Amino acid sequence: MASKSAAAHRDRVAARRGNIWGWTFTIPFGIVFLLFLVIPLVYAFYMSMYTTNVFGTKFTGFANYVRAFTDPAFLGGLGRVLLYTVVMVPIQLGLALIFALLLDAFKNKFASFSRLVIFLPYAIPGVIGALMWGFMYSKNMGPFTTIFELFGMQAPAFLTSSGIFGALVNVVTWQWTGYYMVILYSALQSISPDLYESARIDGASELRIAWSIKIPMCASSLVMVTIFSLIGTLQFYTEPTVLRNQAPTVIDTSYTPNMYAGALAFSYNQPNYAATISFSLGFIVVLFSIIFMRLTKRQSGLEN
Amino acid sequence: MKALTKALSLLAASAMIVSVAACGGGSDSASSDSGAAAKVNTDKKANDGAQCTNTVKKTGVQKVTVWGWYPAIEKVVDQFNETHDDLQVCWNNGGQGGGEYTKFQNAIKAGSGAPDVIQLEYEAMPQFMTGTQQHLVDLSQFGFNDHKDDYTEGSWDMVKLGTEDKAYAVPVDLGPFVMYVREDIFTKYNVDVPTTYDEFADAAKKLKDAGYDGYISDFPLNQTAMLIAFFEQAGAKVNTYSASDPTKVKVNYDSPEAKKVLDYWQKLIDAGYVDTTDANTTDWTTNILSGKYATWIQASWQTGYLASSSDDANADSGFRIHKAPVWDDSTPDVNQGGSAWAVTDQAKDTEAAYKVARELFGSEEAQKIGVTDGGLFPAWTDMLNSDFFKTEKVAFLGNQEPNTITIPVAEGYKGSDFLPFQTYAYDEQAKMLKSIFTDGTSVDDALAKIDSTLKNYATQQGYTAE
Repeated sequence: MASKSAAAHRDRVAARRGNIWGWTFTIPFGIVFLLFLVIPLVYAFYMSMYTTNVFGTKFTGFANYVRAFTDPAFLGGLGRVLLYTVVMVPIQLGLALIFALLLDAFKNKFASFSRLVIFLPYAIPGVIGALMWGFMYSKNMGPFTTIFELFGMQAPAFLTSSGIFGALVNVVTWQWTGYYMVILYSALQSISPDLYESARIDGASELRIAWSIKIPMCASSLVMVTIFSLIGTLQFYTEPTVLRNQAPTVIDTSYTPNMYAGALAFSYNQPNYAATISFSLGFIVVLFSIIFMRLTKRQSGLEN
Repeated sequence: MKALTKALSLLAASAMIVSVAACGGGSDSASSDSGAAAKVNTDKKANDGAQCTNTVKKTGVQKVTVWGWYPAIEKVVDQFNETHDDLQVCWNNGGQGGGEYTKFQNAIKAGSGAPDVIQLEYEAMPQFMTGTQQHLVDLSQFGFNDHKDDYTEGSWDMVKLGTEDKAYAVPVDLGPFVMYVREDIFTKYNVDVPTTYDEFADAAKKLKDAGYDGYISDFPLNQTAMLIAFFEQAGAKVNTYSASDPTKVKVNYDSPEAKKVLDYWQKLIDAGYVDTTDANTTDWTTNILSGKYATWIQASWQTGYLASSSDDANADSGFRIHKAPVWDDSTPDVNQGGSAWAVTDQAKDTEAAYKVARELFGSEEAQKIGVTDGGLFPAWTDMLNSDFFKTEKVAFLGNQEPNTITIPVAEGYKGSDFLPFQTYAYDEQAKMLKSIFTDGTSVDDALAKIDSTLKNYATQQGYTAE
């Protein structure tokens, strides 16, 4: 009896010691996390509770949030990024998946070269990529005008109200597809080839193997990549901000919620309302991520 | 939507009840200095340890800190420091335009970190002299009004910020509104250079009919101060604001005069005579430099910007400066842009800061550096009257002496008002022009809409809007 409780005590001490070590190793990260994420978040929330007007700053509680969710500029931007999400996420992931499956099926020199080429745009900084596309879209300087003229056609007007949506979808897809492809490709590498072999013995075609074995086996990576893509699109900022230099009236200051928050903070001198917009957007992103993770609980392997 | 609004309002209401205790928070300090004039300081030692971008010429002398982004500013600062024994300027570049204003706003919130003297565009000054935010020092208390005649009427009017006899900054430069003309294009197609808007519309048609494949001009949708200048030519005063009544603004876009301007341009744009490419974009720059626009109505400082984006800044671009077209004999001279030196309420030694603000460009030598090296159009009357300035030749304009045309415009200009939220108003202007010229909204509806949008914004910020 006595020895049993002594053993339990020893276990507890060991566990506590383990805990101490765990915390010690987490401290460097914990400090950075606290300093650069938690504290700014709390401060932003605190700021969003106040309103500054010509008479000074006063506490207004959630009034800023009421304003945000009735503000056509914020809601318009939100609607726009949702539309981008609906269009862009499936295109990016569809392409990434097709590329990954193809590269996985053909394992030769050409495949590894293609993999590099498809991945390359991701290695180019986002701002540079957007700048480059901005010049390519230009009516006077871009190559498209000349290329289309060769065939006696007129190049699409990329930098106009009707063309900008597709133009931006293209930039982002070009930039990110390769990155998602690499993630999916490496997930495919971890599948045991035995499975394919037995499927082949059972008479399954390559298409059937891809659909019934490969895709389900990399479902958890697919879910992860979708969440990355979802969050990235809802926080759309870099590409439209850079293209704005080429088309300032087509992409206005409240084109996306993030851009609107930036304009409020740095052009309109309304830091409190900017904090509100940022916080609201953050809340919506978290909400969307949670909903998506719930919906894909089975596929993501996060069940336990 | 309605349910959500209701829920949020409920939350807001309950939060307000709960948190009366939290009211003592630090960020409502601004309400304490309710509208009082900026205070005057006299600490001569406070800047001794200040970090400067320039090398201060004389050690052991009182320093005054300055933020500014004028081209050739370093040379002007050196010139000041060499010629002054009692004060030395410690200059830093606080950013250009909006970047600097954000930094200044941050320094205001922090209560420290602002320079003694700051470069502000005329249109940016009201935001620092509005409501409880009174951060520019009235310089008339140091006798600045005695120097009123040193500056043009329009520039003086703008630094008065709508007050009777106060002055919140020392005017430096202006942007007389003129017309850049490709005379070679007009000669080639045998069309006279227009002087009135009627002639301008005729010339637009004649050029097109004669086979010119460009546009007579561009009416960019992203114009900011340019549109205000067009409006002022037609007698439309869209913004009214005075620092002596700093919680009131007047917005008046919905006027027959403003409508006249937009109707005029809409006709020319619909006929295909005028382009609407956004200014300062890649496409626009290639268009204007390649002769796709026969004219460009703009402030005279455009010369420097065009020259720097062209292949050879010293080669003849074909452009010549003419007077801007007029509606009739009563069309006023107008201006677009320009800036001034203001003294901040954080100035360590306010009177010394005033002295620096006034004297930085207050000598012939400094003015010459500004004109020659910086391409500034001065608001200083001595310079405007000098033969040096009148006969200045510009290679980019084919050795034209453009100031014979720009000086009378600057002298005839009477000043403008700007809103304390001018950046927002400009963004709304761009939205308005876009709604008219790409989305097909009628001019009447668009003008009525911007009027109500800006008034709502003003009310939301606590202003009495009219």
